[in-house]
Amino acid sequence: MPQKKDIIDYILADRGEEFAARVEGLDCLIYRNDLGLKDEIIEDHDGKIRQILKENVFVQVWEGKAKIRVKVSPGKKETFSMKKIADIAVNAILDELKKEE
Amino acid sequence: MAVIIVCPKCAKKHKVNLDTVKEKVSLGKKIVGRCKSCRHRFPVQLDKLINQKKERFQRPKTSTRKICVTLSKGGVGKTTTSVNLSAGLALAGHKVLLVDTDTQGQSSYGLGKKPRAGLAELLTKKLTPEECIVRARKNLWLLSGGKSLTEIKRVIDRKTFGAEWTLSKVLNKLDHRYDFVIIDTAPGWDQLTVNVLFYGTEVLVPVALEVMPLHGLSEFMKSLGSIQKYRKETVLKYIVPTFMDTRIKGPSTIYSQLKKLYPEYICTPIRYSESLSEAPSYGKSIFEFAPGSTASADYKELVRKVTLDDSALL
Repeated sequence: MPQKKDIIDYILADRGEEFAARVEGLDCLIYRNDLGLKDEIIEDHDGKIRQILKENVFVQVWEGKAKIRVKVSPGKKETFSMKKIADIAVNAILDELKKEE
Repeated sequence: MAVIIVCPKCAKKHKVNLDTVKEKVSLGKKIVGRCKSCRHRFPVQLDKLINQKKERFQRPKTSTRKICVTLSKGGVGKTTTSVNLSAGLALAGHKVLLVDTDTQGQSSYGLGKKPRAGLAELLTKKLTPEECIVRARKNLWLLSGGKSLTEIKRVIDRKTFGAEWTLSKVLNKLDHRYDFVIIDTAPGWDQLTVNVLFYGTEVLVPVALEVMPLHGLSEFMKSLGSIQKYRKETVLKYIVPTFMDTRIKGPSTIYSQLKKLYPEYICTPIRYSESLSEAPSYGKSIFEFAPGSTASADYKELVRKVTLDDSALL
């Protein structure tokens, strides 16, 4: 613990890393990494768009337009193989087709 | 007995003698007021006003609340929030001292005042509190900032003991005169900001709903942890989202995420309004410049949150 007279210098120099836990959720929001994110399926626009978040891959499937958009946020993993992305996208489409059946 | 009725549209106050409406009240009729200034018609809850007045007289004087408005990131609305929160609290009948610790000294500009002296002269004991504090509005006093505060930073640096209490030593002697002391801070993280956080007990953080200000919030919360090692009384109480643009999706998404993360601190957002940027040019608070604006309504909501009084400024 620093001496009383050094308090201001200590506070100004302290990066407060020991308090990082209290901003973990906020940092996830800022850096868009996968901490705390759970796989989820969100339906939007009266069920016409199906959005699926699995691992770090975000897939949107539009009904009627036969269109698919895949967004990958790197998070912890630096790279994602095309196979992995395609797998998640195909799974999303299959889920959608099953839903129609 | 007379009560004060405030027009919800233009904030004009009207003194009403209860004897004149006694008959209507006893018959249980609804009372509708009409503002003499803007002609706005609005319902008046007279029984609520009477009860409030009684409570105010019966309520014992509580200790002064010291609220620091701070975030190291600039341009998030610290001064705008300080000025309008102070003005709103004053309108609600509380005695407020607004202390500007920014070398830019824009709080005075926002209230249309040009004080000759301020916080720097008070801290260096060149002048007395009476000479440094100016009355800006009814119930609202101002201790201005400005360039002269750079000298104060050198004074703090030269101290070898208790430098973090420099501001507290001076303000503690006079803050009992007020219900609220609102302290506006400069962007950045320096010895004067540390002093403010050693003086205040409640921290209000205005944050624009974008990634960079959120990063500033994250860094600030860590820095606040460093302060709390030495001063546990200083606590984060309010996160006020500012510049909320409801036309685009991003800010709403960030706001809902922040609500999930910090439900105990998050306040109703201050929606983006052109009036907020225009009001300082006229030296007026948002309640004076655009009383019917969304920003005025949002700052009134903030006043209600801070005072824990749901009927304040209604």
